Amino acid sequence: MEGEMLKGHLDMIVLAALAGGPAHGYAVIQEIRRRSGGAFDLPEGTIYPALHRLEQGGLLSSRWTAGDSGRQRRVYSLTRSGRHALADQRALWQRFTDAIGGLFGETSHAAIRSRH
Amino acid sequence: MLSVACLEKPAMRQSVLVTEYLDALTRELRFDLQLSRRVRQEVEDHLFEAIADEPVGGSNGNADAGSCEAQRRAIARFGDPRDIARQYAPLSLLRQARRVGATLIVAIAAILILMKGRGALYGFLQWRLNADWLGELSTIGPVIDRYAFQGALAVGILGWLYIASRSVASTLDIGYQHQLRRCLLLSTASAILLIGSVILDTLLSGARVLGAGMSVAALVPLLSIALEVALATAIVAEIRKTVQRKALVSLLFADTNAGY
Repeated sequence: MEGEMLKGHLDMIVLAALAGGPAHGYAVIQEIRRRSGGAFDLPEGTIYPALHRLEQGGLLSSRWTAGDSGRQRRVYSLTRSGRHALADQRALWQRFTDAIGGLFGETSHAAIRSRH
Repeated sequence: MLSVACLEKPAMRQSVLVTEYLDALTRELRFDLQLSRRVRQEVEDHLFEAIADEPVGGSNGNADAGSCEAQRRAIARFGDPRDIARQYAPLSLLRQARRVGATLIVAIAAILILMKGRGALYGFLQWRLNADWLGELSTIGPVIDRYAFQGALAVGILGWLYIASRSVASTLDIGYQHQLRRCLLLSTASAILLIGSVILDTLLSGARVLGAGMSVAALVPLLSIALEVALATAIVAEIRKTVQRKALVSLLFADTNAGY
């Protein structure tokens, strides 16, 4: 998957990875890798600035917890705004992929029009 | 550049490469010490977990070499420290701009209360400005003071509204840089007007107290002026911190075409 394309959608990808529940950075990366079938393989360090940015924007909240090894780890979870933002992004993305699918001949024009 | 210490110091091999990497990342994040501490702790936890998940065993079956390779792979997957630090710059700069804006608003509100309180006290005690000492300043001083403060208030509120309505960008592009520059410009303009007002307050209050003669009651305006000066100093310190952070971020981007 093209790196620039991924970076452009990184916030949405991180929000989607956290939809299942609170997780720390490493678990978020594992979840992204697992759910994308290994297609999304960004430098792992890229996730953390995104997590901090989303937290600053009020879409995520975070707290320190003690991990199994006893080390402190930061756990992130979606806020109410984050869940709304994810739902909006999901709807937007669905419309976009349907439209692209139509352009590529995978979805009939009638099917696209019926959704609008 | 990470050293080959992993192989050279077997007793320390568990953490040498990771520590070097974390030191490099902390160095690149020196523009925001608070952020660098948090990031270091998070990344340390991440790397140890990533290393633990790596299959152990070197290419030649040597467990020590395998451990080193596992650390190297985990670090390589994490990415270049400078690239990562650059991604934090937009967040750090906006957070600092917000801190300046918030400090300004708090300072303006506090100074307004102090000024009103002093005005009431002067009225109650009948402490007037001595025109013989101050000349024209006794007439135009309070007017300039009032307008400077009102200007600081108006620009401060405008600046705060502008800063608060910005959202963190993922990259430090030209548009975002312009927004940050406007944040700093508005904050600085408001701070200059406020400092001018505080300087005039200090002169005029000093003249009133001297004219009335030193007494216990004089401690009230003197303490309130000291508080105003402290607030003005806090604003200057925050603006200075913003300029320093901006300069350190510029160094971080110095070797890119985009620059900052």
